[in-house]
Amino acid sequence: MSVSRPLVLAVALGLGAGFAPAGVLAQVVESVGLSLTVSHASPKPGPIDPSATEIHRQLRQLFRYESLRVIEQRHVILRMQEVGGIDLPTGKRVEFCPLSLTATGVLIAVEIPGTLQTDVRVPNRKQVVIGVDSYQDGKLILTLQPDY
Amino acid sequence: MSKCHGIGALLDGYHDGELGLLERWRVRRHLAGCGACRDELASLAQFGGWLRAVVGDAPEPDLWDAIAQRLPTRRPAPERARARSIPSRRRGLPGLTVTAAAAAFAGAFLVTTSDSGRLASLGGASGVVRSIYANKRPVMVLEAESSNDSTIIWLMDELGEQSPEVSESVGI
Repeated sequence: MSVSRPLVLAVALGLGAGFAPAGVLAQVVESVGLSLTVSHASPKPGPIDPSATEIHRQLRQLFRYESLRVIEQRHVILRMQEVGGIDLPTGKRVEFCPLSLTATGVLIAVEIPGTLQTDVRVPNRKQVVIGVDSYQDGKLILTLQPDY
Repeated sequence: MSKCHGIGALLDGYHDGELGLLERWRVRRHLAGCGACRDELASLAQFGGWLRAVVGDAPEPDLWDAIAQRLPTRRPAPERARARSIPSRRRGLPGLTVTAAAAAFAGAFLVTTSDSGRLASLGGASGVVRSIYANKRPVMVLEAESSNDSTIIWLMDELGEQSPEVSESVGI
């Protein structure tokens, strides 16, 4: 039975990645993708934005709101230590910067100047939901999800 | 059922309306995804109804006063003893005093930065939130309990503007 070279290479790479220590992982992955969503939850009756169903699933048991609208969605790719940002409708700006990557996730610094400064270590494709400021009659919600 | 650990003990209090804001949040969040605990809560309600029907009358209004008079008086703990000092993770930022009302509960924290407004270093259940600073605003941190959950960081309005009850009902 013959085995193709690409398959052997793929298996070897897979084994290598499986046994690689966290430091090696950080060197291999030099940049991370970040999906950012800015939503507005409101007590006014209205629809739940279809693209916000996952956020709604997380929040509906915790907070009372009647409608959820996605204001902006963006995907950015950032190198380690590179700063990205997104403007909120309140006029404030959210800045984020991937600091390091380990086996348990990517450490991301998130800052809304004057409002919030936090470091979160987020596993791949897991979400962090941040209820930021009051906006209009409700609340602005920022979600952050890395992929690498 | 391992994720029910710690919730079962709270169900009684939840049913009786005795829990604080953080505990209620935690129980409600757990109930959303746990049929077994929902069933247990339902049976608690059923049992309560049955008990009321059997036992009947509520205690006399002056019963508690009589009990309270017989209890020894207890001085409230000094503020300093209740506050927990957490060292700052970042260089250049000295220590921080954090009141973590929910520190006893895995996965939920209420963080209120001190007047000096330093950065709090946290180590939650899932270890997602490593540090937080919210410019004196109270922050609710609910760390993911399962792989399907997100970690939630919720900035509340300025201190003094709302009670926990209000923050819960119009906390969006």
